[in-house]
Amino acid sequence: MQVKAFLDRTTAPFLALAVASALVFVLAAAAPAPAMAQDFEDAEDDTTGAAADSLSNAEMLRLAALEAEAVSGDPLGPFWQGMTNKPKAGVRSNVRQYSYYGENVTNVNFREGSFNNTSSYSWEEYRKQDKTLEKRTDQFSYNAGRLFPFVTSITGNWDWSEDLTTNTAGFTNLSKRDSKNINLSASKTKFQTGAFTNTLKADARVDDQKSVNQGQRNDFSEGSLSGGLQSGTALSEGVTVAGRYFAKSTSGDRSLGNSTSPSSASADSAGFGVYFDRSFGTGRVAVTRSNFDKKYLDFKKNSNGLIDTVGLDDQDKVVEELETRDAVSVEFEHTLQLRRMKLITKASRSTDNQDYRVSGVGLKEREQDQFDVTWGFGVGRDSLALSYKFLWKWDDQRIKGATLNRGRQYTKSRNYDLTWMRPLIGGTRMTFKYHEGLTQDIAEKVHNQNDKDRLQTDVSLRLDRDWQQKFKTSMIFSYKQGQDLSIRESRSSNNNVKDSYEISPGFLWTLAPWLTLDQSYQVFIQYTDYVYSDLESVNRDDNYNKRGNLTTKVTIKPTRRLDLVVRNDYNRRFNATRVVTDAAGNSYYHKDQIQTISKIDFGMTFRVAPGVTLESATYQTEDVKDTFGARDRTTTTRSGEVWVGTKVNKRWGKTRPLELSATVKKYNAYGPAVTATSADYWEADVWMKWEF
Amino acid sequence: MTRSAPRILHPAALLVALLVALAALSGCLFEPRDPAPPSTSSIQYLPKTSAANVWANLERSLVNTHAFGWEDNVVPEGGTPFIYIPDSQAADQFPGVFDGWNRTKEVAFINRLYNSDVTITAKLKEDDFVPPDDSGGEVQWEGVVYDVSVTSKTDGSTTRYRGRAIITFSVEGNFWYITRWEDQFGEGDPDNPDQILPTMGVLRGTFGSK
Repeated sequence: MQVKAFLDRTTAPFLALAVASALVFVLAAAAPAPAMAQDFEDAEDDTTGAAADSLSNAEMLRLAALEAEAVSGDPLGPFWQGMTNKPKAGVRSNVRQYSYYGENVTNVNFREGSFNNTSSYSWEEYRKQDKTLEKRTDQFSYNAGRLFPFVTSITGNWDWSEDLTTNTAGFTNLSKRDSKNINLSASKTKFQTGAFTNTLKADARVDDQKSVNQGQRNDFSEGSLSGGLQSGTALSEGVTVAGRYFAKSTSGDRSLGNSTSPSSASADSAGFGVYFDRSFGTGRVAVTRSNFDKKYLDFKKNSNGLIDTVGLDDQDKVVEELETRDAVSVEFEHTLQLRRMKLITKASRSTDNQDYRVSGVGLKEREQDQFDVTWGFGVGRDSLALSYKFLWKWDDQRIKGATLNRGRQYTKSRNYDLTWMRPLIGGTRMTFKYHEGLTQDIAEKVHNQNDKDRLQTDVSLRLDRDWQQKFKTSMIFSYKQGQDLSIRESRSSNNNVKDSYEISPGFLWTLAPWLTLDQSYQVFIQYTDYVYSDLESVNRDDNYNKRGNLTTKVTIKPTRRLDLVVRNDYNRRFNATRVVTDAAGNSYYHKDQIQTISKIDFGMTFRVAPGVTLESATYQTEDVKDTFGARDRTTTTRSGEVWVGTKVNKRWGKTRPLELSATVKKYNAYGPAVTATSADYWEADVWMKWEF
Repeated sequence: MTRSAPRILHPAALLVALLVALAALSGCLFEPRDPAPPSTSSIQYLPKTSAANVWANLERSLVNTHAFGWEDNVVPEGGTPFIYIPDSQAADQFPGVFDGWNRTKEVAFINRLYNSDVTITAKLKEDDFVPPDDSGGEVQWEGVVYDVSVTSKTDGSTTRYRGRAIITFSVEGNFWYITRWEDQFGEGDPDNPDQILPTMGVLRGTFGSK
């Protein structure tokens, strides 16, 4: 049952906090004595995603961590156990922006509990546009330790930002946000009540935000209460049942544009699961149901959910929306392990209805079925993994005011994968992979023309071999076929089948401990056949593309302090279009373009002293493009970049250490695509931190 | 007396499994549907041999609400990952939606948009914009101003998106692809300069968060 909204709207935030405080202490007083908790790990998995506000797995872990933290202090020490401050200030620069930042982290430890606070400030100026961004934040958390039987904590956040952006027409937009929240939380994990192991959680929260963007106000002030209980018990050895319930209620005021209105939301979710770990394997069956309803101000939206306020008076642009959502999910998971064989089966179904009172979107219905099975086993030196994944989902919509549904939009996806690994002779390892996948989009009632199928087939074989550890080789053969098929006649003219081949031999040769040579060669070939290219109405031509890439990399370490890397990428591309196919089926292609790109990189790292490193790198690229057509043309472009920099990491003192980190690089670049802002700039991150 | 552990799988079983797997090599596992022969002339996509062609293809995909044209020009998985960075207005309006925006999310967005019964007019760069020459394996276009209008066939309402962006293209395998789209800010409405229009980040946020 949902928790009823009870907060008076005008005093909601403060009243919520007061009531929550009372609730925490009532719960604390009523809590049973802690007992040894049984293994509750399986129950933690009782999350299906249907309820965003449920006691999720991550939340359970966070609660457990808080509880562990709460009992880690010294129970006999002085009340005040110390305080540390870590102020830090720095400056950062890159091709996009300059930023200045500072923060201070304060940590106070008491005999029971601790207090942490992080305050930060940053100011950013963008280089490629007229934009500045200033941010101020503060985050604190107080953990009450073992003062109460429940783990009790208070957290607060303040986020303030001001973004000034000027567009090309000279209009400056102010996007400003001032957001505060405080959260009081009490929880107890894994406590025993008779045969049941329980986890209990309660939260009270106050949110207050004032923001403006493009002259439109978007403010809210709300308080919320939430609570949840998860209980589980062992039915027999290796079989556990668990159930959980979570509810949340929110109330307050919202302002959007020139309108102000009360807002409220309520949500709850319930789940039940059976978890087993028996001779027939491990797994679970879980069911979750969740729902919410929210009342809030929103801009008027059309049937696609897009803001539609053109031509409306100001008072008509904002509407009082009521959004409701109901979701149910069922999950099954089973893992069977027998020696070197493992079989994992997963199946799930989820349904979801979302309804808007005012928005043109109206009612949206969704359903998703998923089934995955993975089978892996080993025999002798071979290991094989097979998997099949099936996904079938649809969504439907009844647009506001319509008498009939639009029709379901289906997406159906099936994927089959095979991996086979086997050591061959003389330290040679083989990996073979096969994948076939079909994805289909189907519009029921032909409410759009986008029905389509995509069939993807990938086969690859990889061979790796170590030759006396100084010489390693690899060879990859790969074939891919992609079929892109639109089903409707209005869209099928571009249907095509692409066949791609890749052959990539390579080696890594350690000539000496200080010298390695790494070279690889790759050839990519792709044929594109348009299914209906023979029709007169389809003026698409089949084509052929080839690319060869030779990469050579030499790594030299002449001393322990100096690293040098030289690399060359030589790349040649060839594009052609099929002009005719003779009676014997031989195709003839017209050469459209040949492109040759050669890039040379050089990098150096020199460790000057402990914590101080000099770095430098440069590259040059030459790009020659020959285009063949009515008039042949050759274009040559050159581009390059050089940067030099240094890295410093220093730390002074042990009890009150002062730390300096600095990375400074100066970049200069040239080339046809290099703009003024990227031709000459600094990349830096320099900060100093002190701890006391 | 000790007993040797029973063999779970005989090598013959492996052979059978391999045969089953190899049967798949014939491509007979899944079968696409038979498409209807085209009734209209084809959408003239350009070969992805330059960044300019890729950008033109994206525009043609929008105008024809043809998802293949968009999917085929966004960098495929396995290469440089596709990244979308929203402008601050879109990021504020859809908090969290753009975290980890990759090719999968981009493809889902464009399919949802095209499947929502809309017509689109699009001009992805202004007439006087001169893109830089492609050089090497990556090129960045700064100051691209695009203009996209989406009209709902259901209620006839039109929403216009006009923004300034930095677009990065890269070579993967044999072809150029778009690898990064960074919206900077919304541009003014040419028909009403005081009205600042949203970027395609708002469009992505609307369809990406469904």
